[in-house]
Amino acid sequence: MQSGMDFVAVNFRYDRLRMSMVLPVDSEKCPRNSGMSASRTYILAWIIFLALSGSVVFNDSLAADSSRFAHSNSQARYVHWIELFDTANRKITAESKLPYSPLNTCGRCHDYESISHGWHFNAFADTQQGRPSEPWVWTDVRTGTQLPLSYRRSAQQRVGVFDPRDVGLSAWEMTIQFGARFPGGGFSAQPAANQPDDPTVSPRWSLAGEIEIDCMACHAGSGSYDFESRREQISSENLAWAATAAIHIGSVQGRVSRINDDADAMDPATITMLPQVEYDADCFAADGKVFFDVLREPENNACLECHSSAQVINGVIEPGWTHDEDVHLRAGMLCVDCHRNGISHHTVRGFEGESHPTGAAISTLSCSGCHLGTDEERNVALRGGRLGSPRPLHAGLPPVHFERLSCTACHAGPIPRGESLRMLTSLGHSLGASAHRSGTESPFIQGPVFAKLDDGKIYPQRILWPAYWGRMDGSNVKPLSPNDVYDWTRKSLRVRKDFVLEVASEAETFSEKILQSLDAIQKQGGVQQAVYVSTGRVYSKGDSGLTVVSESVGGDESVRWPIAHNVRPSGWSLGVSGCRECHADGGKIFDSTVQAIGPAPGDSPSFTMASLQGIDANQRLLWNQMFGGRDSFKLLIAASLMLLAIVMMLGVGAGGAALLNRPAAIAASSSEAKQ
Amino acid sequence: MSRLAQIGTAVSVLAVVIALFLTSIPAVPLHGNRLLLHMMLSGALVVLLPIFAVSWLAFVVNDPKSNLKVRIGYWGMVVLGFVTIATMFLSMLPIAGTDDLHTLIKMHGYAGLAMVVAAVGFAFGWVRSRKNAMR
Repeated sequence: MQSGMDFVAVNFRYDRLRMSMVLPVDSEKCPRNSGMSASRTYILAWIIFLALSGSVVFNDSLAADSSRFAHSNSQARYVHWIELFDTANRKITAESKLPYSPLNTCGRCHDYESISHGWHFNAFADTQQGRPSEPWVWTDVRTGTQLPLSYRRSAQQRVGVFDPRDVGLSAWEMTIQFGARFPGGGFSAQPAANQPDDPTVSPRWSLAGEIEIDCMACHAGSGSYDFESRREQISSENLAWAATAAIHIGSVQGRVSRINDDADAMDPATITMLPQVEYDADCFAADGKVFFDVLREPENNACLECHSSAQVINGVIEPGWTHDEDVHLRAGMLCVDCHRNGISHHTVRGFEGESHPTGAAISTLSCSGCHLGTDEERNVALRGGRLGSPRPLHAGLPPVHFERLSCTACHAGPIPRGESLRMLTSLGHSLGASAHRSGTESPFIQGPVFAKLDDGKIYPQRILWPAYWGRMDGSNVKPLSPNDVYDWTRKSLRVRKDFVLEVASEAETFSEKILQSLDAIQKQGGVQQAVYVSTGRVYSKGDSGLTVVSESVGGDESVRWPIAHNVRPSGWSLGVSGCRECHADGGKIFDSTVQAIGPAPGDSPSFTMASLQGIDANQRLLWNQMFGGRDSFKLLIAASLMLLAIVMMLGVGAGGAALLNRPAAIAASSSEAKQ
Repeated sequence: MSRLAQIGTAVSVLAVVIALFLTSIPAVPLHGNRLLLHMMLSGALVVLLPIFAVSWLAFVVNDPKSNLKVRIGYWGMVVLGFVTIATMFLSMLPIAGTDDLHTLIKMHGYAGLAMVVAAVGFAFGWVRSRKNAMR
């Protein structure tokens, strides 16, 4: 009897989950666990389970079994005919007005708390670190600002990047600025709870709602998620409505951005001004359920929405038809084949030396791990060839290259040219959104540059020289809030559309307007010494007008982050044509250049890749000269080996002759002795 | 004159072998200026070793003044030098893959190390034979 109750109790939770999907859920009408409290049910279930099993050993599988979330445990796709729940956690019908809530809908069956620890949802948080990645670049074309920001605080992440909190940017400002490219979570969800130390939590959160983790942004089937609609909603401050608009289960009327800052969120008059959802009745089946086209493994398009890039060649954005995909995608792979994650959504980034918080072995999901395997070849799961990856021969390539270069240095990124190219990215330039782009838009990101990361290896990277307004703090420059700067300099700069065209096109105009703006910042912002920074130069007000008070050396002021894709086919790798492709004057990996570019006018410094790598020019010259005579040297070695071989043969011959002559010599010497 | 050339090549080869040994410590990772120097010195060895081998061949094979240490040292240097140079030569050709290259580099290292021992043996033997000749 006890055992039966236990069985019922354990399965009751499973059934309850199913019931929540099968039956209309009304927590008041259908009280859960009727007749037995949840805690009592659990205690009884555990006592009986332990008694039956005779074991008190807890392990992962046990933990999984006891999870309050059910699983299909099948490789088949789970068809999602589900009930939707709104932000007030009420079941949505065609007559509902509130937006659907991913937390209250998806979170019923999926562990939202675990999911929230994922990389993507912590891009607006300081809990996760990892290696450098593309920062959030606050771009304001009216003030000539391109300010790289990141909440991550590891030393590698912080080079040239500023913490939004140090700049005075609130989570609200960050969310409105970048939310269109952010899948939710972090500081943009539960802002008050996540920022207990921030007294300036914006009151607008109570109007706009939160950007909950929008599961469908990645897991929607092809074509069923409209990022453009999502972006529109977020730019209108309709944060909580974005998920609803993106899957077109209803139309959203109204804009939070039209509500005044001083509006009381509890005021009925304000509430009537909040956006309303008109649900499409056709989306609801007879039983009130809605079909969600959910894919377990996100499609490439979902990833590319935020992880695309485009090169600008000869002043023109590279046309799509000339652009080759990553070789892995051409082979039919999905991004998620390598960039995997479990329920924690701690997506594997795929770089060498990466570890996973679950302890899962992920080394074979990096380039070298997948293609070459690890040193632990006895472990089948750690061998190369995962997913049928070919094993590269690298014939004749000295292994020292693997200690000095990342795989991507030769195999990935845009084809290197004499000069780095301007690049547009999804995060920086809102690629994916319909717009007219010329390729000259800020932020001025360039690539590839070949520079080292902390492991001492050379990686292809993107580079950006920050441009911002700030204040001198000793010998350092501290950026000022871009929103404040815009307010203070609006009259002095008088930029209608583009700072570069209207202010920085002529040196005289630039000096005049920057000086006026520095004055305005000092007066209105109470700043002692205001400065403007561009391409590593710090402009300040001097006795004789605008002066450069400091200038960066060797690209120190730049921000760089590695490029992993697109991986080119092996025939398009660097070095395929021989050593002198790199070890000669003009070798792209060392000799190509990148010019510091920013909104300010004037000649900017240019840097060779070798200088970014810290390689001595004379040493490189010696290497190049040595490789210049490599073919002749091979002939010399061949001749040397032949001579040595002849000497050895002569030695063998002489030795053999001595051995053959030895009996005769012994006989001769013995006869001599007898005589 | 030929005797002087003989001495000159022997001293040069010994000096180059020692220098190559010193530039290869510690064995991994060998890169940067040390690798550059090692590669430049290797050019000297490639030229000097055959000259040394030829110029000392008659002495080692026929001359009764050559002792066992000199002969072993000489043949050790020639054979191991051949292996050392050949392994690096093979690794310079687009034939061997990464695994084979690692094997070749290991062989290169061990053969080079053994060659240093042979060179030291040769030097001792040579010095002793000179001393014996002067008595």
